[in-house]
Amino acid sequence: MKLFTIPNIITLGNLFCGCLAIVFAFNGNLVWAAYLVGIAAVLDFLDGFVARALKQHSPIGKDLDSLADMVTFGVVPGVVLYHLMRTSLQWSDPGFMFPSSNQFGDLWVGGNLNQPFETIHLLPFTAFLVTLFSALRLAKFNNDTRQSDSFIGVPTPASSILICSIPLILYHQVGLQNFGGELFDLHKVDGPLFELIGHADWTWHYVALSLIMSYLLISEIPLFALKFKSFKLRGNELRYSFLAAAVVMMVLLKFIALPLIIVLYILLSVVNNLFAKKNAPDSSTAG
Amino acid sequence: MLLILQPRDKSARLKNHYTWTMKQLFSVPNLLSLGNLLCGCIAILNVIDGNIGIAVYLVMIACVFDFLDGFAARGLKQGSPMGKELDSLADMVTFGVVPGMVMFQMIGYANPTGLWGRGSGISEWLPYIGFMVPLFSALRLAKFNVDTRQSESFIGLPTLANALLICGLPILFGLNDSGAFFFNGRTYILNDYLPRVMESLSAFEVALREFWHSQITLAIVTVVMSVLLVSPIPMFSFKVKSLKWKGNEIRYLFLALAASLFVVLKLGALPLVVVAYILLSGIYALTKRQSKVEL
Repeated sequence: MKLFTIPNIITLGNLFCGCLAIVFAFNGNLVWAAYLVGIAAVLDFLDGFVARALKQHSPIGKDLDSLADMVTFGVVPGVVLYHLMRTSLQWSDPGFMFPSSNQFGDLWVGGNLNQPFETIHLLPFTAFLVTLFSALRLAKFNNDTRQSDSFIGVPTPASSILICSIPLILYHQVGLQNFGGELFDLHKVDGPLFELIGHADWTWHYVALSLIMSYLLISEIPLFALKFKSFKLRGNELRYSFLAAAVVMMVLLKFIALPLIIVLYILLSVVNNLFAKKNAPDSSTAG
Repeated sequence: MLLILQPRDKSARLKNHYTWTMKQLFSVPNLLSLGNLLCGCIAILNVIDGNIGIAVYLVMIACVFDFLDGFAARGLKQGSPMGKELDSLADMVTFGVVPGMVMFQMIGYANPTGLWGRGSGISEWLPYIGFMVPLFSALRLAKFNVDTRQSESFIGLPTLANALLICGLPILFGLNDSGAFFFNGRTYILNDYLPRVMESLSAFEVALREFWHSQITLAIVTVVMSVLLVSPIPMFSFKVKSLKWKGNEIRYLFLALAASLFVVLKLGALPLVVVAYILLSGIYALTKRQSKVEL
């Protein structure tokens, strides 16, 4: 069994990006954690591509890919969301001191000796629902013969791009400087979007997001895959129109486009399925 | 618009296929695997926050979950390929990423060896060598899932043993569960009281601590453990057919050794027990090879 083939080394690069992203996220640098997830997504695409091009498919490679995805697209979004929830809890109440990290941590992170335990301290742990459900999704996907041409349920890279785009938007477009690895400093805020959404208490939105993402990950909604068999327009209308819309949105809205693209992807798939159901007799005869 | 949304995808035909039920997704063995994964996530949070000592407890709880999920799957006859996959994904986080993070933090805290000073290039970058552990654990898990030979004995160090060794190191070094030095019955905050702790030790103890708690030693441990994970050395497992002495000598010898080490060193014995496991496996493999030659 050859372990160190080129696709496997690319997959290991994906995993390394994931590990690095975890460390960055914990040092408060959610922006770089998000960039690393972006790099990892590219590597994730590349390893499959290289494996097909070099004909180095192997069961080990497939397994390794899903293990790397578990860390990069499972643990990292959980950690990023956890950090967002903690930060949001701190902002929503200036008097609220989240137990700061020090050497005398309790089981929940950094349980400060001066800070009595409150139930709300456990709230950020709901972020790890995304991690747990990503694991379920990956385990399900690998044993699902249906999911070769299309996905069933949101793929883990899509969910992690959606979650990791939040710190990018907050940093680059809302103007919150807090996720660049700097200490909390609310005075640095100056951005066009800050007046609109900067003051909102997002804690419960994040909790809702983690619940919705968890559901979507294991849901039975068929979603189209961006795997092209040919590059002809016919048969690929949906894919091309989606890609065109994505590019236009990225140019116009920059990072805000990222979550919108994922939402658009889910909606397009749902609409596509509705039409597909109406025309089901046709397609069954065709197949 | 209608044309665009024509059902060219196979998804149109999927509705007649078999679908997964919630009962299958959230079966008892799967829930236990998810418990394992949750322990791993909490361990990562604590380790990165500087609370390294707690990792060993969480990894031990995760071990229990890991044992129970296989047990429940066999007992309830709910074993499935999906459960197997989920188990390996959870193991990746708990026994792959967690020890990697522990190593990263330990090398970051450790004393730079005389070759370079704190804050120098190598000293800053060396902690990242800790991430070799998750990478090689992933290779090990991927290999194990595909390998059909590994039913009775393992080939290469199991990730669980590696995780116990690395997460047990802070305990052996005297870092207690809140990340503070624990010496002579007193607790000291990491780094702050280190010089005073050092004063109270004998020259030999100081030298030993300097050796083990230096960046270069920990980096070497990382590399050796990573290589052992993917090495072709056969390691004995505890899936036994009978409890008889004959045929199980190596296992009983190991258990006796482990028990005596735990009595003397308590939880700090964990890394040494894993080292004993590796050495005994090596000896076992050598004697087995010899006996084959005799035959």
